[in-house]
Amino acid sequence: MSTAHKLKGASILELRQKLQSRGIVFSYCGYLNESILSGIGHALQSKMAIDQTDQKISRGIFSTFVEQVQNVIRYSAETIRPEERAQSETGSSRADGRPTNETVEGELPYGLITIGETPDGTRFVTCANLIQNDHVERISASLESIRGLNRKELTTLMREQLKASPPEGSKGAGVGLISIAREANGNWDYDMVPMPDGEFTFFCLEAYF
Amino acid sequence: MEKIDIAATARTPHLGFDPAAGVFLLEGESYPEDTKKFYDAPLSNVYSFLDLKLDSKAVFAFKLKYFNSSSAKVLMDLFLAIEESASRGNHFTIEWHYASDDDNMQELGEEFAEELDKAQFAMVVF
Repeated sequence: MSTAHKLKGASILELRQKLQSRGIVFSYCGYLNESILSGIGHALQSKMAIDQTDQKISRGIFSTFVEQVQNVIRYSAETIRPEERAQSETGSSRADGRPTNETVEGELPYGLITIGETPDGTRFVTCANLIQNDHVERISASLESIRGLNRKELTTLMREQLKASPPEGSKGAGVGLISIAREANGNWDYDMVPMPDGEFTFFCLEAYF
Repeated sequence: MEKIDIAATARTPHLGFDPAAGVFLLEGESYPEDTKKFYDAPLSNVYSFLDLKLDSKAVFAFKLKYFNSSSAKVLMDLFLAIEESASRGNHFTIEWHYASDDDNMQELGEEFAEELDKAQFAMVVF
């Protein structure tokens, strides 16, 4: 048998080892939707059940995961839209004569999700996505305003925000971020990395358990 | 007004509403793919009920294990509407059921209770 594989398995193993060296147990990077959320969410719950993770911790991790992924789905600035896909694919549903709205879902956002555990036993849920530069200030300010708040303060703030926020369906409320901070009992951090293109920023949010 | 009975799924709760009996129930987990799509139709009936009723009794029972922040918004809007209707003379009770070891649901229930005055808010441990 020839050993001249074009596929370099070693480089893929290297990718896996890189993830493992950071304690990452679940990782996803790419276009995502609510089905990805359901799928990873169920696998995450199964993994935590097998590990007999403390119920309070596993509930916190799961709800943080849901909020984080839904944030990426709603707010990622990096998306691909159905018309872009239709244009780039030959034999699209339009060409088949089917109405596009039956087969084509909404736009697909791009994001990164990792869940894992550091050597000291700290579990983490990390999500990252691109945002427009002009949103950096607003998001940073809203995160800075809840930094240092404890669980009780965050619960009260969440209630006030729920009362004040516009009806569901608008993209207004900051309740998702408050909810993440609350579930993590105030143990969370974020960072903003400017992209070289000068238009986007890589927004990372991490919650610890 | 007709009865509503929507079975639970992995991401949506069992939603029951019997306007004649004055009983509403929301039970299970709530993190729908599309929160608006799931709640809008059934809750519009509940909102009509709250608008129309006078001097009526009703119990709104919540037995939730988990809900996400957009479902929390739905709950808050519903509680405020129940409170408003109760302030017009209706006798409404909200029952907030939570497992004895679920501090999280207890905290959230206590927080929602802060918004209610004319409507009764009962914390129920199971």
